[in-house]
Amino acid sequence: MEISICFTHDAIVIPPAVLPTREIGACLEFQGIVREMEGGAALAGLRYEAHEPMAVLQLERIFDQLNVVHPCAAVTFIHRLGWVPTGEASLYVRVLAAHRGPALRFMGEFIDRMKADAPIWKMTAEALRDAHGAKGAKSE
Amino acid sequence: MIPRGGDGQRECLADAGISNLHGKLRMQIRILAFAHTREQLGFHETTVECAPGESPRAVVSRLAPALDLTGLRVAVDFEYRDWDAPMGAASEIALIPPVSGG
Repeated sequence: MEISICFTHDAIVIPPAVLPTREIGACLEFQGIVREMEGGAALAGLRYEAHEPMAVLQLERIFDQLNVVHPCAAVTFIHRLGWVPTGEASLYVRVLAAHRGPALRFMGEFIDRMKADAPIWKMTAEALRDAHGAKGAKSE
Repeated sequence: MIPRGGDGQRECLADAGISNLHGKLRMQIRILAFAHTREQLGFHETTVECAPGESPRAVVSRLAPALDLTGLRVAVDFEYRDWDAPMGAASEIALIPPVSGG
């Protein structure tokens, strides 16, 4: 399976789909978009951060493991970091496969596993303020 | 396994970033903090001295005794690990608060 993983501080630009073989019958795309309402409050956006080298390793492992049970030909992963305004995409995933079944299952399970294990975080401005207020740990 | 004694073994230890000071193995390890944990600690990255046999819990508790580790995972050299397992010749500990990508 071809794997492409990218983190960017700029708006996501969706790359053209290049079919690795003529046996691709399904092209599935997912975009995660920053919603306005969170806990009853309107957000202007979210700030994302990641432990990038670890995230790449974890994501590659998840893709390889999913490919064993839901064979796919290629996956493209783009995650935006830094400030992402409401209404803009923070995540783009594209899966290419011979059939829709494996592509749909691959995508669904990948999103769940990414949200459980990939070291990527989003924070609201309020959460950042609260965390600052909770300072109490000693540091060097 | 941590080798002991001899010039070749000293070079091996040095390659792993470990020094043998008065019979005690010591090494420098990078501590990374993210998201809420970074805000609580007030730093993203710092370096501390520790022993290869120490656990991430021991090192982090010495660095930040007030930090509540409940709900935090730890990664050693990019892999999730047990808080209480010896780190060996690791170079990085990452404090991983609940993740929320996407």
